[in-house]
Amino acid sequence: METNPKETNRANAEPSGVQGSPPGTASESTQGSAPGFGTGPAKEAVWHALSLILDPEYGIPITDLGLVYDVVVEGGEVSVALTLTTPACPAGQVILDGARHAVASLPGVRASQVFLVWDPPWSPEFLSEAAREKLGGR
Amino acid sequence: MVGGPLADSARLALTWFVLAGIGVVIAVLLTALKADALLTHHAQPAVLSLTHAWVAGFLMSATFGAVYQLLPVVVGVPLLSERIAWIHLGLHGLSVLALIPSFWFGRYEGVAIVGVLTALGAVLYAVNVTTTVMRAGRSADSVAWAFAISSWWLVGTVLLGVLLAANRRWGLWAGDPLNWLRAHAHIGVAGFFLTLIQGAAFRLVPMFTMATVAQWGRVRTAIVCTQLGLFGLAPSLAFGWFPGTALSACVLALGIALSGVELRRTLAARRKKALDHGLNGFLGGAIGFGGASLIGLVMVFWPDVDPEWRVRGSVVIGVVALLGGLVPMVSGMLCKILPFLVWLRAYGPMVGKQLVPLAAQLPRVALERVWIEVHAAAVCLLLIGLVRGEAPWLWLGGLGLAVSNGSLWLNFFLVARHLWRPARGVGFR
Repeated sequence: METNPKETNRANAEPSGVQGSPPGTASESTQGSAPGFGTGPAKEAVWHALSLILDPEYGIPITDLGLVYDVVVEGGEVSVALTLTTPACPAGQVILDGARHAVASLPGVRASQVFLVWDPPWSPEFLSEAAREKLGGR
Repeated sequence: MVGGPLADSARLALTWFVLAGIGVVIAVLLTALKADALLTHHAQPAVLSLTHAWVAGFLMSATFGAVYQLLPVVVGVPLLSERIAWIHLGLHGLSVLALIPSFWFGRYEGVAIVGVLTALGAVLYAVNVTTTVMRAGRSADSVAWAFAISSWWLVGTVLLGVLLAANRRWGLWAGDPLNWLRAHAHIGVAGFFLTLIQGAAFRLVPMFTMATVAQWGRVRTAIVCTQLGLFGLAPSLAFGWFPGTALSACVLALGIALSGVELRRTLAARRKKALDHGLNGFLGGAIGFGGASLIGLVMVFWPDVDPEWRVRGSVVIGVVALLGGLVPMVSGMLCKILPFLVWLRAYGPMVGKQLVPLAAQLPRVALERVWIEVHAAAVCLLLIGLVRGEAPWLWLGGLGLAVSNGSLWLNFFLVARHLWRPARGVGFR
């Protein structure tokens, strides 16, 4: 599973669906299911969980679309920086909710946050090679 | 909410699409039964009934549903009022069901009265759309304004239609009603549908092909040319003024050409190379519509054509513009929008929790292929019948439309079935 090298701009991050709220508030974070284990999931496990979420039109994992900007795992706490192809993406809320649930359901996750990030704005240049091949484009 | 509120407006859009399905059944049945009426004058009751079955029954219903769904996504603010949109649906549904038989039986007082309901619905639509666009403020771009502007052309079209029907029944004014009928048709087709498509295409095509619009300036210029052309064409047609008609037709044609050029450039830059049947239908319809415009332009500058051919030519333009242009364009977009809306409601809540099918997996590709190929053949048969003046070709064309639309709407039914019989997990990746 390839990781996305783009840097997360935390200053511009907004928690999913909530304008301007600081990270870590109860309204954004989702309590995980693991009962107090010291170590959290491996970062690869988080990427893999996110890769199971496909864009409904193109059938490409959001990780290969380049929508996942960053994944941070600190013990049992997971933070994901996510973007959308456009702010008006009609499937945006579905993808966001799906990502939130997928991450929160991982074994070892005590708390998780999924941030919407708009900087840098998504570009087709972020597509992985696998995505480009599937689309048949450049 | 990210991406705009969708759950409620999805139900609204889907209900409009059901109305569109009823409209297409009526239109297809009437065309199959009375295709030979196309050999008569385009102002004959049967032809008017057929035209309005396709336009008001199918095209307008499907377009309203799509706009109510797409507009909040385009402008990033909720629709002003979903309640008003539901009222509009009721008014439009009632008026369509009464309008078509009123035309069929030549009861123009009925057309006028029912037309008032259609006009009221159109005003509600225009206010709803325009206010939504205005509330978006600076984020309202040329696509959003195309939605708003087209809605007022619709109001004008319907009001003119009411006046025409009233005039035909009660003789309200002197002057050639056929000229006014031409104006009514042009502001309807170009003012409402073309303006809307000149905006919406540059949101929908990039969305479904992972493309970007290269020159928004060209998109804006095309829309402006269409408006300028229409402001000149409508009164020129109504009053039979050739210089105005000729100049305005050229400006309108320029607008259509510019949109075509930019659409071609947008497609050339797309990341998703393969085009599915929905998009192919839309693009084929765009070419058909362009063809109708060319025929119209030729007829403007060829005034000495035999009167019988001039009348036949008007019907040819109507068939090419509507059945060869707008119908496949709108149907093609339904092939994209409907599966997505169904997917959103049926499978959206399950994303991230279990395996779900893709929206692109819901339609039956074989049925879509039958639709697109048989529809093209049907339009060709209709045109052969019109050119040769032979009814059997028209009946075959009417039958072809029944087969093609039957296939398409069976496909839509199977897609919609996911709402009450969703697929579960296995086999979908």
